Amino acid sequence: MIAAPRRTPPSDTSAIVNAIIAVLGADPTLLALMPNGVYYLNGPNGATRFVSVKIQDATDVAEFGRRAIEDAHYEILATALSSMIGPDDMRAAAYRIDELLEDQPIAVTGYEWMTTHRVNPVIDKMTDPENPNLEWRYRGGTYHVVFAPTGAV
Amino acid sequence: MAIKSGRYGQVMYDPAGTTPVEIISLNKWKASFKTDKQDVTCFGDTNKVYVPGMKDVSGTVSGFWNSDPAASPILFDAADAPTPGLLKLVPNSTEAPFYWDGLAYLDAEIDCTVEGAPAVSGEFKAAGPWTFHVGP
Repeated sequence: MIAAPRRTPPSDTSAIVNAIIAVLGADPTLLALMPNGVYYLNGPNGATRFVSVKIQDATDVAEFGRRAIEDAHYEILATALSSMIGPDDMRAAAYRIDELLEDQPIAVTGYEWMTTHRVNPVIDKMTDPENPNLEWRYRGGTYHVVFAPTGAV
Repeated sequence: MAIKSGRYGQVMYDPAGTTPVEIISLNKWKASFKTDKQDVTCFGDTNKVYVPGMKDVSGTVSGFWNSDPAASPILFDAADAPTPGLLKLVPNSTEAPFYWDGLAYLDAEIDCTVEGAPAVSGEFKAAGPWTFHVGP
């Protein structure tokens, strides 16, 4: 029996998530519209204008002996209380997210970027589940984000 | 001995026909070792009767396009080669040597779509005797 080969160290998917958040979170234009920042899932308590990022679904594609491709869909939404923002600013925030991500390479250690592109837009609103007097607005989209692990860490 | 995962399969090739090296970024191979059967059914037989003829060795390899010289270019160079190379197919590299090898001609194809990574594939046909190597 030959020892089971691990050809490369496992890739760190969190690095992709962090890189997406960093790209969005470093943009002054987006932060002017969403001043509470960019977060995975929900913003902190009290946040009223922020960008949420979450993995909607993801698939690892294998080649012989290693993970070859990490193929994921991320829901990335400008999120704000209706009372705190108008529709024009929601629209501008979603457009800025798209400008920053659509077909834009993202540098992530341990990966080679393959593609980032939107597969569907999202425009939605929802009553706050804990306070029916509050309404949240969401605008952005689902982004197809694909990276190939390189084995570098 | 036990059932093994295909995760550690390998496809190896040497255009010079001596020392095959792995073609990376592949994730599937398939080989067929079918033998022709000659129909020798006679009057009075209660069912058809066959005798074996010649074995035909052929198959396919496939995976993703990768411009690394150790990957897809090997397939496309092989497709242009006027002479066969040594192809080695390993079902699981963690198990001491069980593999098939032999001289083969390779064809190559690429399938590029906006929906995913470009895929490559190749068909092979034997160009000499093929051998099944059984482990120790």
